[in-house]
Amino acid sequence: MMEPGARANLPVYERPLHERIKDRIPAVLLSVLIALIVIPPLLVLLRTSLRDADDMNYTLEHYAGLFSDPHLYTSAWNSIIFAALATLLSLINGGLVAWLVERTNVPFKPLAYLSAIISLGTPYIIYVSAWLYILGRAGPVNSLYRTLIDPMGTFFNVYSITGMVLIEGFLWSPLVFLLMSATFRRSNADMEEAARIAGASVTATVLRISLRLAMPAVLGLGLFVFIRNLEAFDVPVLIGTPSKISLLTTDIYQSMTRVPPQMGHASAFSIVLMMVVAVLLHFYSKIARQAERFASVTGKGYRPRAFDLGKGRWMGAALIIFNALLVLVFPILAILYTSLTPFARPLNWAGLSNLTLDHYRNVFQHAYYLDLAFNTFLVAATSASLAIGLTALGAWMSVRYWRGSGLIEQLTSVPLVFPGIVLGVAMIEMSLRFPLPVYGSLWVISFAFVIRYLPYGMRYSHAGVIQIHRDLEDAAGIAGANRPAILRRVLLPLISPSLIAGWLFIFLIGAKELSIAVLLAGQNSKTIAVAMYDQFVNGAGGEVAAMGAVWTALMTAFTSALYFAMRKHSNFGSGA
Amino acid sequence: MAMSNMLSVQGLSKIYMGTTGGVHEANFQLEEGSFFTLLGPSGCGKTTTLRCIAGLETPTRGIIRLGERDFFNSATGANIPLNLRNIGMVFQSYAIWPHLSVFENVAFPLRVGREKFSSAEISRMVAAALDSVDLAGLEQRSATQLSGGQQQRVALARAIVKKPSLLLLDEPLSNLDALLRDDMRVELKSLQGRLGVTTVYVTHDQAEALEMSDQIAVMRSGHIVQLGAPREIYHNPIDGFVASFMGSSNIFPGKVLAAASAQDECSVQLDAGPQILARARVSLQAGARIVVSIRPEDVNVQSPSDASATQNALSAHVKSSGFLGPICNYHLDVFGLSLQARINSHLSHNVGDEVTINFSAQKALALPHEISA
Repeated sequence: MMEPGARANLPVYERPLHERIKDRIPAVLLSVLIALIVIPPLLVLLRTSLRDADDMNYTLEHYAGLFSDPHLYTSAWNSIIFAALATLLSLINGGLVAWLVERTNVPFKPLAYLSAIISLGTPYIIYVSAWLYILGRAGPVNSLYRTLIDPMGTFFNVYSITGMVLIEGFLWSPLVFLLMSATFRRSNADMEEAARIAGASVTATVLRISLRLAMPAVLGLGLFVFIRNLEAFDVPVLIGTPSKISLLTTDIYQSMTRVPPQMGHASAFSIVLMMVVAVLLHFYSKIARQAERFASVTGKGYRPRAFDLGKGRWMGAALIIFNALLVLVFPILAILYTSLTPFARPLNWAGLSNLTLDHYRNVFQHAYYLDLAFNTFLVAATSASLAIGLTALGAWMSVRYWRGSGLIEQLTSVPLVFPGIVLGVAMIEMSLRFPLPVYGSLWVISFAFVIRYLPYGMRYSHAGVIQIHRDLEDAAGIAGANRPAILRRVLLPLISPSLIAGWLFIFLIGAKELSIAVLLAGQNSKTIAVAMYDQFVNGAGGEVAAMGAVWTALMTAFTSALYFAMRKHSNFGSGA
Repeated sequence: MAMSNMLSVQGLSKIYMGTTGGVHEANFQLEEGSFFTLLGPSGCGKTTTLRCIAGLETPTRGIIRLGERDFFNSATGANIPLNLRNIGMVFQSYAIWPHLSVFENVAFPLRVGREKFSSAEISRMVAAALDSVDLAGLEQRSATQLSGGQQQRVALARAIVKKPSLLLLDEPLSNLDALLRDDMRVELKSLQGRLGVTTVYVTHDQAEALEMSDQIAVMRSGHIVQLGAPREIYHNPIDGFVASFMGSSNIFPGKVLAAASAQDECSVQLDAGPQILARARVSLQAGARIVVSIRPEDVNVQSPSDASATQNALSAHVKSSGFLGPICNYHLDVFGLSLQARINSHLSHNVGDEVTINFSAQKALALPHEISA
């Protein structure tokens, strides 16, 4: 049966050294490249935080100064309260809307999606200024209170931590909605139906089954939003700073914008903030892994049956409409009104009867605005392309276990520990030391964005590659294709929906990113977010509002594209 | 032996650290144009063997040679990358690229290889390949619009379009429904015959293996347990494992009463009680522990009054019966053993009936339980 001769003791195969080296080259090269992008900011910050003011000696004085200043503890407390409450608000609001839309027969479902999608592409500053007006002293909420109850009183002071929490909470609701609706959509309706058949009421089912099942996912998302709120810069600087409420991120910003900038102090501060974020991220990844195990994924294309809310569905509808007003109608009306009035004035009949398109004419005629748009587009598109390009290759190598690819995933997730403002500080220090005059140029901003968005790029690229059945690549290899040909002819076309979605996502958040750009932008390298911030600080400008309106329209087109790319991506690639 | 395109696998092993899977030792040589099947339960190493031949896995040691060319040789260090082996392969998942049309799927091997083809040649070769799997006319169809059976044909056309020197098939029929599977068996075998390409086929389905193969290798835990022609393996299984894998459902442990040489009748004491006569597969010592394999179709079932046979006649009673059309499948209780019998359905017995069974000693095989490979 067997030929005994064939049993001749053959040696164990060992790949020749030059082949083993050749095998490792691509992944090692990419790892080194990514390391060169993500590691230097860390080192620069660490070094600056340990050098004295004249950059002569190593010292711990910046840390000592930081921790001995009682101000740090006030800011830290403010940051934590602000982040925690805003997270809670966005989780309840966004989560409730997500559950209503995904699991009940509530009307107006498309409106919830529309609001969320448009909000993704709209610069925060547009929301913040609209809500400041609505909740402000002269706004409709307080006017109503004065008319009805107390002619001299103020019902609500928006320039307070409560105001900040409200605005940040509503700012995050759309994203929470989108992420939670994905969770609810994937969860297994059989378990809810089993509870109903066992005799549980809708409320009991939701409390005992749905919420319990969704809990790990909700916790994970909550921690994620908490981290992002801790790092938040827009609301703290736009509302906190004028009302003298200091937070960690605005403290760092202020020590950088003082004359002369306190680099050592800001760096020490950044290192401390990064450590906090790193610890939180560690817990986040633990919870996220737990959530994955808990997720009860159903067969594809399976649509769970919706709960019948009865008369309650109109209450649900009210919540959806309320959210749509908050994140869609009011901000857009406010920005449109500002862009159409010749000068700033409260909303009244005189204002409404005297509208003009002058600001729009100016926006389209002045080179300044064209430059802003061009800068923003260039920065966002460059960083999106680089981040997606690098992570697509990286994800391919690490998902398919290329030799030498072991560190790629860890390296691309390093930037998660950089709050935007911290990365801004690091980039300033790096560009000042750089031998070429790059300080204040678009290149520095783009580079900073690449660092910041590498983890996002990896998320999309990784998800893209992992859903491509390995056989599809093996079949190409058997058919005679080498690795570049497999990449070009099989993998890239198949993962392109994920890559396009990732590119658009990075482009959108890059286009509205303020915290990095505000520190790095020079006179000729401003992005739209920075210009709008300047105008906001110096008094509202009709032209910026017009610019914002045009930009929002443009970005909404982009976001719709993103949304459809994502939908397509979810039922693509499983064909084989 | 002709050396033209003979596939020879010697001392092949692929050990995965920390697991029991993989291949420990595989040796075989295939004549050009033969249809060879690796048959075994899941985890026996059949797919790993196939993937080593394809170049998708790097063996731990061994030699894989096609004709004069070493695909892999751990003694010389030769290891030809998979894309230069000129192999056709059909994956269990078909691996049809969803972003390409049927035409482009089949044309792919012609476009990416070292050898360049003109577009006229490509059209001609793709048309010929599609024609040979009866898919002519579907060239422009998107691959995702095809049924499972059609996708399978596209995968086959893609595997043969470049006239590969070796065709590898990894459970290609397991995702098809039963009727389609029967048709495809016949078609696949006749296509392979027309092309004359040496074929290695992996399956866990013994009926497929028997119908299609020139040679079958039955694998267990990383070893080839038995290698031979389908008839040989079916009628002369080497041990109880192979016998039961080839569809013998009656395997009873027992002890040899008197030494017997190979192919002789020997008397066996079954552990359950009765003493029977069986044919020794190999020469057996008195007292050796063995199993006796009796195929269900080789068992006669009769009413006690009709019974005339004297050899291996045992009384039994009917526990259950299943009507399968031409035959009836009985579960019988014989001395506490559960014995299956398949007989012509014109003869009928009822549940609870006392019956007498018998079987010829030639058809009861005394085998080692599991040979150690």
